[in-house]
Amino acid sequence: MSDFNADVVIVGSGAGGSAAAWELTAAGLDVLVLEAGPRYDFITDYRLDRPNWEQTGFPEKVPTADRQTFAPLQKLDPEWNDLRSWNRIRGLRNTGDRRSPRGGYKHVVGVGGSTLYFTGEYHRMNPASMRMRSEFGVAADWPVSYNELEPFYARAERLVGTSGSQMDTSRPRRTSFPLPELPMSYATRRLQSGFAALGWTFHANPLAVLSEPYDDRPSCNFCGNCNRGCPRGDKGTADITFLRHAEATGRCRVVTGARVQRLEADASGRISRAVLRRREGVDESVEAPVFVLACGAVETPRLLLNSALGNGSGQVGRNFMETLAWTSIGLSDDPVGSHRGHPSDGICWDFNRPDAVPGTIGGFRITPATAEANLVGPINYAARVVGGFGKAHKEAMRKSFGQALGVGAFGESLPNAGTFIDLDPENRDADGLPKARIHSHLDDRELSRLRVMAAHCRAVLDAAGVSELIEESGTYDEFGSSHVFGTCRMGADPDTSVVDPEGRSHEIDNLYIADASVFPSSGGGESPALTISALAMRTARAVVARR
Amino acid sequence: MDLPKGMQTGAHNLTRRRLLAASVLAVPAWATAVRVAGAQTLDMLETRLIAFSDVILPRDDTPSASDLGSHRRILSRAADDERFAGIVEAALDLLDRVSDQRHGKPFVALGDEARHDIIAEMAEAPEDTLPGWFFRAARAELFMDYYARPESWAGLGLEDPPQPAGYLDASEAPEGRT
Repeated sequence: MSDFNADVVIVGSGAGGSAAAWELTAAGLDVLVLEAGPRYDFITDYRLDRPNWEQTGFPEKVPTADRQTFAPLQKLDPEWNDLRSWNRIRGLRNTGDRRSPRGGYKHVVGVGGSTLYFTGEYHRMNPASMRMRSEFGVAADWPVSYNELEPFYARAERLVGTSGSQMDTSRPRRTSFPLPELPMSYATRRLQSGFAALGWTFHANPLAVLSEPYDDRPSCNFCGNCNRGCPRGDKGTADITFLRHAEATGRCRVVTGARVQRLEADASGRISRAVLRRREGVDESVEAPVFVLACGAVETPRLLLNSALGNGSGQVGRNFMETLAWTSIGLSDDPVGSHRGHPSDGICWDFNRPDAVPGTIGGFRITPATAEANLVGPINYAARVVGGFGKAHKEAMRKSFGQALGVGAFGESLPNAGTFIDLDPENRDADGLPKARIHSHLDDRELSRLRVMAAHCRAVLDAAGVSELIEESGTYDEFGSSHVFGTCRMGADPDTSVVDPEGRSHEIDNLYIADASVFPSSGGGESPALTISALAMRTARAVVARR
Repeated sequence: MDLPKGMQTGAHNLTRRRLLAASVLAVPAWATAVRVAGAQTLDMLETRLIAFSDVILPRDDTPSASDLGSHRRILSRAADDERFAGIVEAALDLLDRVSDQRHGKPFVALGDEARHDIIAEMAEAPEDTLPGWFFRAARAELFMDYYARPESWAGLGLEDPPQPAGYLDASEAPEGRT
């Protein structure tokens, strides 16, 4: 790597690292991106054209299930039994008396990061969710206003090609969505009737999914399997949007399989180099004037803790916020073809504000969830919807397939003292480094919000005429997080935050963080990819401005 | 709070010994039949497994499990997992023993109705018993293979994998259901 003199080294190539790389190269800087995983080829790796597509999920090249460990999770309390996950054929999902870590931290190690796996939801934060401390006395305020972030939102939306509804007035916009909304599926329109009956608004979800050809990429063909990887390139993953354009400038080099072991500081306290491994037991290093960490809210604090840097406040790893989620699945009486269509093509923001539900601090949003619950193919229908055996089973399959309808809610996750990331003193990775250990505790405030979310999901199904529930799942009895935040909080006070309002370490002036670990609050269920990218672009501008 | 409807406890962390012991305790009618079979030829095992598999997924408008070779997924798993292989053999022995007690012949020699009745009883066995665990595990393997084959999809409204065509008709009412 000595043949490439980078102005900036970025560790991680997901929504944050890729967006930062693009913004920096656009400003004329040379950028080296270190990615622990490999590249994915969207044409050859995502084989949704094969009959056995349903037998596997996202085709991980780097297994992620054991990359982190969990401290023992909380005991389950009968008071919250209505929030247990269950299926009418399989029974309780968690038969133990303690919350299970089985759902894990869902992420992808590879160029593009977890955007490879997402459904493309591309949400701006609700401005009201960015002032949780001053308005509601919880979490922390964002030191960046929505209005400051708005131009970066718009710039990211244009590059990626974002579709959305002009009826969506939940967030102020200075420009309209670059692309028209994705048409709702027939099954989603069935759910829409439920929202309408309840008097709740429901419209097209903002998506980094193309509703028409854009930037040499085709439009979505509604196969419903975004979580298995998009083989067309219509989903705006970071590798084929930000990073493709960054690399096209000739000023961005991506090194794959580069597992950064630690950062090292010089006598002045500035980061002098990153030590990495691409081969077992062989250390290499890269030097640069500026380093940007973008490994996500679990691995970024781990890297800092393993480097023993940037943690004078003791805040690195604290304020971890996880995914609070609920899904209810029902069975329609009539065919709706729910295996077709984008997985989350509609959204209800009515309860997204932190004060939307009286007596509950923190909001949530509601979307279709049939495909995200993996009910898009016959294998899962046979196992989870129909069961049984013999000719009766086969007849029931013919009657039921495509009739499952799911509604899901993602909600605010507020920080608490029992929820944080530290280094596991007993478990190390293949390079001998301590793994990140996840501590998670859901207090009564979180569970009360989850209960409200569950009630709203059930109400939508009922109002849509779907009275027979067949499965429900939530994060009460099983940790499962794809959206994680907060472990290197952004703020003005060095005693209570890790980075300043520009994303720069309070302690190390050439170290920046550009991922969801800087979020002071989680938002009311917004998917974070767009905000991660917008913040990263803003941080990149700060890097450029300080040169 | 009450548990939602449909919740039942299930098995976890099963050991073969526990399975066998549990079946003795929980399903006395089947208990005397539980034994670990000696070495069988692969042909014998496959023949018995086909008989079981085709009760789970019989031939009707679409092929049976064995028509599509789906039972071989169980054989393949058994080849890689000695513990699972032992459970398969024990469960198939159990089927034969019950069949012999009731009808005087092995399971493979029974007619469709008699086979169905025995498997229906097996399906009702608790999950932490040998018959209950085997039924659920073997059925899951059959579903996993069978429904990954387009020949099984007729009548579902599914003609092809999701790509490359996608579902351009996703906004319309589904057609093609038979």
